[in-house]
Amino acid sequence: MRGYLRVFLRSFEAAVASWTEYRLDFLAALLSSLLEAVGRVVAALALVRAGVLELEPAQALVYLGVATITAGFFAGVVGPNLTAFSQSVIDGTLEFVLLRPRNPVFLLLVGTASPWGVSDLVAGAFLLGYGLFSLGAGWEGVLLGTLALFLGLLIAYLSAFALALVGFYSVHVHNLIQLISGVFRAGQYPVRAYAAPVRVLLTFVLPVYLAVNLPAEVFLGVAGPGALWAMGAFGVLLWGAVGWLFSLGLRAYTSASS
Amino acid sequence: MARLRFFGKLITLGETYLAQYLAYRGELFFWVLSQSLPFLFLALWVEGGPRPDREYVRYYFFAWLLGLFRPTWMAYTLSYEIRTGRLSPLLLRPFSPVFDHLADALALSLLYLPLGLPVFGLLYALFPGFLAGLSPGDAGAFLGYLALGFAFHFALGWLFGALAFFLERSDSLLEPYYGLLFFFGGLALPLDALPEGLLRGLSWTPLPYLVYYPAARAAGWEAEAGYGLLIVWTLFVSVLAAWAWRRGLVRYSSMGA
Repeated sequence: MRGYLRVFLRSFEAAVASWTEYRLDFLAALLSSLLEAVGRVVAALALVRAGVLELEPAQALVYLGVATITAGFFAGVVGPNLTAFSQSVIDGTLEFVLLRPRNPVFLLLVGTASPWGVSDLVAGAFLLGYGLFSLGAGWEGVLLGTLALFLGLLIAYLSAFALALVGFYSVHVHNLIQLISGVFRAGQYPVRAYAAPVRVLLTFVLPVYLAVNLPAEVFLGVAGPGALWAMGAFGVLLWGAVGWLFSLGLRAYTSASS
Repeated sequence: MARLRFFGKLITLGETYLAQYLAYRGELFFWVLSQSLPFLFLALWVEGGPRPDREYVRYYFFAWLLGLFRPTWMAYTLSYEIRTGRLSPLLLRPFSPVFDHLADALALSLLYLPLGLPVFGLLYALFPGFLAGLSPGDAGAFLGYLALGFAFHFALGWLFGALAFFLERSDSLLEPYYGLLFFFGGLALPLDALPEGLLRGLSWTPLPYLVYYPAARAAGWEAEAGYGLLIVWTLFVSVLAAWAWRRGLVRYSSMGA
């Protein structure tokens, strides 16, 4: 276990160092996610005002906050790692990961990170905190909600990874990852507010409801500790499924030497 | 004669770029799909919005169509060419690299059309006849906006790409702009859902003329014509882009220079 933690911290450090090289780019990304956060708040409040979302403004901010944190996690961790995975399939260098004495799926999941997501994480935490504060949420709810949020991020990551495994068969997956991250963004509003076909997509095709909406509902006290158990069970199932799909995909993988 | 040569170049270059892009059509399809994400907002309005479904469908459809004719990648490509020195061989040819990028952008837009067909088909299956009753006048107005929007984004992309002459890397500088366009241009929501004062302020920027007004016009809603303002903005950005390009070329030093 300590070995895994050390591997995780080392690779995170190295990634941050290499990404902060281009400072102006980084500033632009910061500005862009700030403007986007403003845009999202304006849009959510406009949707509440138009009666499309049947929520209090503060509740809408809680949903938005959880979804923004998820988006930051995608930009900072999920996207870079899945792109690196697809690149190593293209280059035929996946062996460098497969030969190491740790679970390859784990190594691929924590291989790199980028600070681009940090601004979204901060903006999301601010929105979530502001929403919860103005609703006067108790600390038990916040604690449970935070746990649910982490489980949700894990579920989102594993399901995105499962889809990105098509990288074994069709090599470029960058746009696919953008697409998945965009669909998870739909969790910024309660899934029940969407029309039926989209509701089905967000609940059963991709677990957006489970990963993004449910944590917000735990924060709001709409869902109880039972939701955490359900998320945990689903996460374990998903981990098993991803491991199996990965070994299946490996059969299609050929490197320069095979 | 000169004009003939202009189009001849454009077509030849366009064919080359088309062939290049066809090699990665799978990835492009995912890109078209991710451009279709605003339809998720449509699902919200159809479920709970005050207007008839058909009008919302039409609004989001035309907003999406505008996106297919937006040269999004130009700033990145130009900035990359400048940074890596790949611009040098392009400069050696007897015509400007503008042709390359113009042909590139047009070829890509042409390619998006068939790739977008499944999206159109799905929309049509869910809302049959959503295009019925579109007046030729509104369609013409929409096409005018589409052409102007293409010109505006081409100039903008050229300006930001050319900034790489001065900044080494300008890839992400346009990202804040696209964030603004998404929420305050009308891609996410029809702008009349925003507070009125905000919309009035935005009407001085190019943003609403690039998505909201054209799409609202095509949806049959009341929308003022803003060609004049968009033309002024396009000229302004073009002048800046031309200036940045001229000054930048003087500073440009590629490998070995």
